[in-house]
Amino acid sequence: MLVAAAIAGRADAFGTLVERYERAVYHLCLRTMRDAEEAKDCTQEAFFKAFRSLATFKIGAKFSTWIFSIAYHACCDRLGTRKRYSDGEIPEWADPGPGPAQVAERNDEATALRAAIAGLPEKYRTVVTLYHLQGRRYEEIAEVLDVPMGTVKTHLFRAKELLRKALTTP
Amino acid sequence: MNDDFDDLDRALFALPLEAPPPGLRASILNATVYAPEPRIAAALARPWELWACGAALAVAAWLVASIVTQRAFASAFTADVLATVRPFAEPMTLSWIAVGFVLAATIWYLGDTTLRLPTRSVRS
Repeated sequence: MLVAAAIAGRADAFGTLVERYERAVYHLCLRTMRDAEEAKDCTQEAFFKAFRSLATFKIGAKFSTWIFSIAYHACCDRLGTRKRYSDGEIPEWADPGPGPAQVAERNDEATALRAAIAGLPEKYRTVVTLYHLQGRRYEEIAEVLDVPMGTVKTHLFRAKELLRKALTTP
Repeated sequence: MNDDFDDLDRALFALPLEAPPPGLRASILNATVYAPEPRIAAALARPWELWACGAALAVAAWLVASIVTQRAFASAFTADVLATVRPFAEPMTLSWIAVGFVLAATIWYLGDTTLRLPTRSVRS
């Protein structure tokens, strides 16, 4: 097992884990932070923390859940700091810049969708990212976010409602 | 929960993940598996060695503090040390210590040079 080899100190095993999850972790951080530079920092921080805490990893658990959870909490820590320093600069419904409908008019569905996701509140954004964009199951998302599974489903439903509204509102 | 988001679901599932910035993996690996170990940690690989070093340092600190603060302790300690060290000053004892030191150094050197893994290059 790859994680067991990494715990045993094999550099190549941890390198493979980084290779395997780098993109997904970066993507989660990017969606949560909405800033490429901060997402990069959070990704590095997550892998660094994971590497330092490898000994605490429970063999048999899913590495993806573990690393996502570390990354998500790293993002939350930074968002908390950012909120403290910026004093409400990031509202629950952030202005994503040009409206999603405007972007859609440029016939770029992916860009419009990304803009709409970026405009979601943080808790909804993360659930959508993990469920739709990374194909995680409800149970895993609940574990990553440390919330009940019902909350994940509710957040997902509300996120989709908000997304549909954002994409159809001119 | 009534869920009628088929088109939205399809669009979301089809949305590609953004590629991480170039160099991210290399910087992660440099900060983790290829990070240079701190000197003490590199020299003392096992936890019990750290504990032993800590205990020795604590005893040394206690001795220094006792010698500095208590004159009676200092003279008694000096006499004890002299009595302990005197047998070691004999030529036969010194020669056996030298042999032991050379043997230990040879074993340590051989173990250090033959068991070390080659350093891997970092993939970008």
